[in-house]
Amino acid sequence: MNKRGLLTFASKPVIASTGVTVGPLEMKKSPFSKYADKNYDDERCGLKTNEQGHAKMMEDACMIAMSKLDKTPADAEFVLMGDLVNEMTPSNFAASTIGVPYIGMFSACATSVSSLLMAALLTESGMAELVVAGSSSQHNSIERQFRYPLQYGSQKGATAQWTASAAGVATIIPYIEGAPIITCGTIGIVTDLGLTDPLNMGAAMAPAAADTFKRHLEGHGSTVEDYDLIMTGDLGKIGFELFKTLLDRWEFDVSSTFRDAGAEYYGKHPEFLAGASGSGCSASAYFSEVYDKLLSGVYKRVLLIATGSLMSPLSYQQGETIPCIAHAVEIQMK
Amino acid sequence: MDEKKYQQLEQQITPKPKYVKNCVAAFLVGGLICLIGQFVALFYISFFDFTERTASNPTVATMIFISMLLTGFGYYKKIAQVGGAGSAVPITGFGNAMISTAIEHKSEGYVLGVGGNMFKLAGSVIVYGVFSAFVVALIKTILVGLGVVSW
Amino acid sequence: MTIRKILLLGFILVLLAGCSTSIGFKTVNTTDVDGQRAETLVKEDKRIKNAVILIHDDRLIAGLRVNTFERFKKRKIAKELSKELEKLYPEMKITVSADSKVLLETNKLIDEKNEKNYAKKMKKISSLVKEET
Repeated sequence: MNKRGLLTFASKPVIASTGVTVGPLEMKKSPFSKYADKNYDDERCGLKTNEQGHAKMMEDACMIAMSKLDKTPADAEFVLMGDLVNEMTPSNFAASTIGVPYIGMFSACATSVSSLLMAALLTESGMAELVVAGSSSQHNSIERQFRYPLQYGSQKGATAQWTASAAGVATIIPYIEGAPIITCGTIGIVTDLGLTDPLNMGAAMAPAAADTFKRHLEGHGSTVEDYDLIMTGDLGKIGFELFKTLLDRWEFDVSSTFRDAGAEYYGKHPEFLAGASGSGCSASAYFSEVYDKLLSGVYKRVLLIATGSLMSPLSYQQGETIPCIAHAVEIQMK
Repeated sequence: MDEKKYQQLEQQITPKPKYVKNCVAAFLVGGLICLIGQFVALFYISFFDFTERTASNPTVATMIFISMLLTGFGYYKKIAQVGGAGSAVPITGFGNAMISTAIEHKSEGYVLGVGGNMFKLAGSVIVYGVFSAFVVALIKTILVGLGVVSW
Repeated sequence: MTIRKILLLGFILVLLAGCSTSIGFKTVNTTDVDGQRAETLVKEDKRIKNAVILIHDDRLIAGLRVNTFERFKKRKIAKELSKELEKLYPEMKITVSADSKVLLETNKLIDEKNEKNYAKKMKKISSLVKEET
């Protein structure tokens, strides 16, 4: 048995609370928005630039998650978060406002899970009593970072995904009763199967997700039937289809328990093409609907696989392929 | 899973672009933009002292102005999603490329932001437009020099 | 749905109406020279579908509209006709153009039926044609 990249948390760290903020478009069009804690009337949250708005969303999500524990963000010992903008400046600015020891995390759109795993590790090691983990994305600033100017008229194909404006944050503490437990996780291996189209990221990320999924199940000795829900991050409609096809070929039962946050993020609105993407997409879906349903007992055991494409505008313009990663975390409710 | 096999699978599952539908949409949208341009030109010809030749300048300016308004209010993006090349090829697409970058980079100030980035997308149109004009002129000069064609 | 149909119908009607406006061939001559020769010259040219010729004082203006598929060659056609008209009327200042502005303006001038304006306006039309870009 290959144990590389497998994490098991014997001390049972739990997610004590979550905070999710969504942008105005998500509020109107996303089925996940009804679980969100806060939304904004303005994409920039009333601030001057998109990047400031991005930081504000992150900051507010942290505040909300902490206020649910009757604490202020300054009570946290660590904050782990990330986003997709150059050098993660929105997260850095948000961290500067919060004023808590901070580690920037980057796994592209898989940051929601990677930060959650690191937070669980910190708690497991006994170094922390309260860790804040999360990730965010904001449509305007990320489209600008990776693609064209916002108002530039370029025709997008059916594989293109829409970067979601959302932030999701969770607080992780040592074991208490009645909170969802982070039991184990799997760190992904960077997978690159030679796809180069930055407007078809779902297809590039699907093999990474499938690989992590297989390693997680084999490594932790579980089966598909053990889970009430297996949810991928932002594969989108096409990537999710590919993911299921891959699993089907490996003879997993893909008929019921699978969902994809990206594909479902904008409901049935066709203008969003293949669905949502961005590090805020998986974070806001996991820490809102999935978390609420874990708390209410609808789900007992879930596997969350967040996927990220590790490219930059420079790398794909230079004709490089798109390396992708997927991290998995298993959460149980007792 | 090896690369080739996966890429084949990806090709099977990824929906093919609808070329015929896109071509028809581009034809209609592009044609509509040109029709509007024709009306603008006709307006300048009938009400001002412009001939068919000289009316092209104010027409271009007007079309770019319209494209500017559409870009600023966020409609051009929607037109482009339907029209594709039909909305990118006419002068309005060029205007959209410039104006969208100008709006985008306003947050970095007027000199380094707007001024420095305005031609980020449209710049290649200018570079290769000038270059191809040069090549065509060169070819024609040679042909005229050889006596194959006349000016 | 019905609104769309009405709009489409209106659109088609406008398009068809736009196609059918026709000036035909028109010649107005206020001088003693023989204008008939110019008119026959233009009429006999198969490439031209509409033409307005105005002869006044020492000026002759011919506004042409060429067949749709000859449009690419319209400057050449105008040039050829100009040369032929110069042969026919060597003593006149001749302006021949396939630019629709000339056709429209000349036609307007004729419709106004104000001969006092002719000299001034004709001079202006001639100068417009000379303008580049």
